[in-house]
Amino acid sequence: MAPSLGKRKRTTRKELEKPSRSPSPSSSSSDAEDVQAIFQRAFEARFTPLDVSSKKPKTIHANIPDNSESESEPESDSDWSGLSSDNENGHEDEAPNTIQVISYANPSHPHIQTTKSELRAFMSSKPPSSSASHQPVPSATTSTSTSKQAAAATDPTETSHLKNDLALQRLLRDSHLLSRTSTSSSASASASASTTTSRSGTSTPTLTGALRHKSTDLALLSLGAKKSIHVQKNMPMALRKGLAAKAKQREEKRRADARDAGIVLEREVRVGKNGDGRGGSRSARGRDKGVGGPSVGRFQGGMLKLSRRDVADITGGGGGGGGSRGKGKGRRGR
Amino acid sequence: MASETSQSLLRFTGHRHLRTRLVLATLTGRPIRISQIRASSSSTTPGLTPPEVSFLRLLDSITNGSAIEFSMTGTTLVYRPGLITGSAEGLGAQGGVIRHEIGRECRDRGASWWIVPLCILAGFAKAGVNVVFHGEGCITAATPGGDVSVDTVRTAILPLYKNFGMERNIEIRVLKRSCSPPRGGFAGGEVQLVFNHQVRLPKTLHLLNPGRVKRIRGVAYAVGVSGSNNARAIEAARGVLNKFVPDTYIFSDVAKAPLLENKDGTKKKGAVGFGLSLVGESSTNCLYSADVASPPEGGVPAEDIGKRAAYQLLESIERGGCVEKTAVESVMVLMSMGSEDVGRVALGREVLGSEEVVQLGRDLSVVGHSGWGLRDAGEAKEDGDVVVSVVGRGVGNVGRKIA
Repeated sequence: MAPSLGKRKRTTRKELEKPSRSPSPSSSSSDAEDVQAIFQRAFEARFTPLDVSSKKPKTIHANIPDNSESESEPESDSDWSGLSSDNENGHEDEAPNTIQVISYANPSHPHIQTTKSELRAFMSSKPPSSSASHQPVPSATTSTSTSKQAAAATDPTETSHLKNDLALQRLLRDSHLLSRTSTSSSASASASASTTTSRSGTSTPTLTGALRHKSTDLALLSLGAKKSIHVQKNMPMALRKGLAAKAKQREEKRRADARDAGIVLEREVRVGKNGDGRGGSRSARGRDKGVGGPSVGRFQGGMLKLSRRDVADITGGGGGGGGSRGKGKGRRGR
Repeated sequence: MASETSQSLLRFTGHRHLRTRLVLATLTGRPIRISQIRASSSSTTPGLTPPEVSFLRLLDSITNGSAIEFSMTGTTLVYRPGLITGSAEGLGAQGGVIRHEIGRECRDRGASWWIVPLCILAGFAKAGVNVVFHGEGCITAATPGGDVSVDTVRTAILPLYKNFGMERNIEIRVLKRSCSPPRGGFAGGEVQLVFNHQVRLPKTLHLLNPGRVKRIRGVAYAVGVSGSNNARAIEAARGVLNKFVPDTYIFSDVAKAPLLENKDGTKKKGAVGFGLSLVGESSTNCLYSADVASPPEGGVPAEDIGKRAAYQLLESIERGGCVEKTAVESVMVLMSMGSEDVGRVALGREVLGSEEVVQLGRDLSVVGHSGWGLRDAGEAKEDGDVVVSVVGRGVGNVGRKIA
């Protein structure tokens, strides 16, 4: 409609405006019903004179919308001698400039993505709790980004937590070593230990010397090492026996002291000679026999030898010495 | 509450606020006498209306030891409340569920008319409350009479109970949706209320900052009609609301028309229609709701329903305060049932000045609660919110005290 108005004005404007703007070829072609030229001049009539370079695209723009109308217009062209130019010009300046687009579709609202969880939270039979419904909203709108952010945010803290956790475990494991050094040890060892303890809040305690070896040993054992690195493999028998006897004595003394003081200690675990916890007790030793061996007594020199105790066990208190012993029913099971 | 025989009857007159008065009497254990119930207003139907009788039946079934006496014409009622037992086995409940039938004659009231006061009572029950409302008069949708839909009860009223320390095991299950029926029709909906979080004393409430509405949710329901009605209502509502709150999302629920079996075994179809329930949530978790359903006679396009619901929500938000009109009764009653502490809530002037709230304050003082303290919130003197201070009575849940 805007270009048609322009055409109406073209007749009046053509004389008014300077001839320089509407070149002669275009006027001649308007006589030949050159539609494009008509629109070109119509456009120029309404707007300020343009330089030649920008003229061409403008004309193209102007004739795009109303090609269909232009055929019906020419006959009305003549009788519509034109509205008065000046007052019209003012309010029409903006109208033809914009191509009016009327869409009959409703304005589309940005579709908010709701997650299924939110649907379930809201449409379930439970009242949507405001605190619970708070969380889905950010996760619903930016679910992936927030989850990534959360992961990124928790990552450093999580790793540091893990690190601290490990350090604390190690510290606890080594604490008795540290305390021992700080109470009774050489000055250097205590100094090193105290420095490690002072630092242990932030980093793993690093012990020095023999204590470091002990700490490493404990770590290895906790990780599943078979035996301690401090157990000497080859040793004179007397020495080993002495060691075992001393350890046993020490343990017995500890237990006796505890019993006197009324302290309940941990259950005694009898460690065998080979140090792997087997063969300590009698019953355990009974299981140690090889395949095919006798279940009672010992096979020696082609004959089964039964000791007095074995006989007593079998007869169940038949023997004179075993009489008192045989009363206990629990002993039978051995 | 066994020693209530010595207490004198509290006397009320008129049919107005009858439901509230019954609730207050039940909560405080005071026997009441309500006289001149529609004695002079309309000579054709004096006395209690069917919904009110139905509510009395409901009170009878969830309490133990209540005594209800009517006069011959039904214009005078004496109610001696018993202990709120809830849906305890053997007292009218089968399998822990009370089935409360709402007859056809009650169909000018929505199911929320029963559910909202029942929720107030349920928090003070001895055991859990589990009631199924069903029958030809059970309407889950909003009604032309102004009752909200059960969706609004669930999404706008029940979340407020969290402020009082009741949040677990509370559900409203819409088993069968129904709309308000035209003349001669029936609804036939079915709703289950589960309220299994009883407290000894509700927490003291301090709600002073309404905040800004940050999101709007809603449920569009279509019963026995095309689901496109939902889409159209949602589109229209969002067209209004999206400008204000971009975080607007309305869920759609399409249900079949409820079927009820006749005496002869044939099935008949209940009322059809559609509606929209909207809830606006503020940054401080205050809720504003709106509820519009299609009228029983029909003839209103879905777009109008959506637009009206949106405007209704905007009006509700405009009224301000932390509690909107539909929930204010529940909140005020629960506040005055709280511990002997001063709870505060900011209410919009229009909400506070409404007839129901003013009368509620009067009735509360009649049954022995303290009066409300009012002051203007903040600097705005003229039309700002009013902070209502309520001192709790400290009675709380008598059944819990014994148990």
